[in-house]
Amino acid sequence: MREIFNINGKKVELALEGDFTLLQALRENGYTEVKNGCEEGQCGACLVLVDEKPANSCQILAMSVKNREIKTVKGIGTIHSPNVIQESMVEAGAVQCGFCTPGFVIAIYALLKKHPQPTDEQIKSYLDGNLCRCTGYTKIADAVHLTVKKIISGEASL
Amino acid sequence: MSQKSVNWYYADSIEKAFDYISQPNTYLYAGGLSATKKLTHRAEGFVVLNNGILNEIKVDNDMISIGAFTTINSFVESCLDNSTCVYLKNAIKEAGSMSIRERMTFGGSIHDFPIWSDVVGPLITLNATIEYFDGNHYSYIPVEEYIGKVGSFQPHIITTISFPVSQSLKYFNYRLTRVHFEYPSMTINGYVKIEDNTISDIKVFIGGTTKKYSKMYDFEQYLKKKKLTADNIFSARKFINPVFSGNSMYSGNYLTEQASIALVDLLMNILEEQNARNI
Repeated sequence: MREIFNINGKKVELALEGDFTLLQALRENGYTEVKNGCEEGQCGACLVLVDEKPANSCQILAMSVKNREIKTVKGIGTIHSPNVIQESMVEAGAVQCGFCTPGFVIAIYALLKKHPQPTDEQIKSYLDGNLCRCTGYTKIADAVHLTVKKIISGEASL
Repeated sequence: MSQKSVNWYYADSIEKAFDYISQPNTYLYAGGLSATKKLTHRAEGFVVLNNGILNEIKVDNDMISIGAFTTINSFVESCLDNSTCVYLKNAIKEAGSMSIRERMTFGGSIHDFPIWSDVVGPLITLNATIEYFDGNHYSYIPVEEYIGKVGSFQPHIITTISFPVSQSLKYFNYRLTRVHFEYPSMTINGYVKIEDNTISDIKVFIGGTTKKYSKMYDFEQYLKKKKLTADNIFSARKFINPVFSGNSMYSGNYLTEQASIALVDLLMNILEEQNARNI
């Protein structure tokens, strides 16, 4: 079947079945920036925003969010127009294989929307559902601090 | 690839949602965590309640009311700071990762009551009550009674969960995990009421056991009306005997032993607090 979804600010028609997860529906319709890591809600690679709240797309049936606003990492920033979070991730050396990065960008975006100057505890809490096998997380935390610094200085906005 | 076809219904009222779930194998879709794990293979339909319904938190006449579709994270990040809410927040703040907590709902957690639930134990400790709609009227039932009967209920929709704003009780909570946001292998929740250094009331709820949960009636009866002392707490240890199936991380026997150690530690912490207060 084909249904209209609101993705990254646009109404788009997705081809899907009634029991597709949001992850399946997005990836099979070309939104491959949403990564399939574990399909168990444990790794965070598939994170998207649903009504501005982070959600594991592998744990949501797509049709349940048909009337909601869905945002993938490309709705936050693209290669041609990166968001300050994405720029900071690169600058801080927080990207190695890059597979977990879209999920982290989503989580950091949600964090900074709620807590513009997060404490270390809040950073850990908001990023606790994102796993990274490469970086050891320190540089990802550095990227968060760098992003905050850039936003406070007026150099960039979220 | 699709396993089977599923019908989707979108309701803008509780009454309309109820009409839909009255159909065979049609379920109300809350956070959806149970749906993806268990229901996809037998569900014929899901009902989505429109955004904004049943997700308010209210304080009214010394009672807190939580809409059934309120997410765990919404509650944890709310500014409620009375004693019962502080206890509940502490007990559930690590129930899954942030993104999971943004999906977990109170109603769904009670209705589906997974064995790893962080939510049910604290609500029972708070003597929480559920309001539910059965198609004709709204009824009320304690959470503790509901989880014992949930399989035998006719179609219904949980609408709110309520508990007192404050109670003169010492609450305790414990969850056994390897990493902080993991689903727990065991949870222990309860309270102690202390009057003149005597345990006038005590309640213990252990989640994750073979039958999903266990009450420690003998333990509670032993300690009631006794002084809160280390001797009495350690003497009561012989009545702590929850049975666990075990999992890939811990054997059943290990979990039983750990429950015993943890519960004694929790009461000893309360004793130390009391002693510090009495100095």
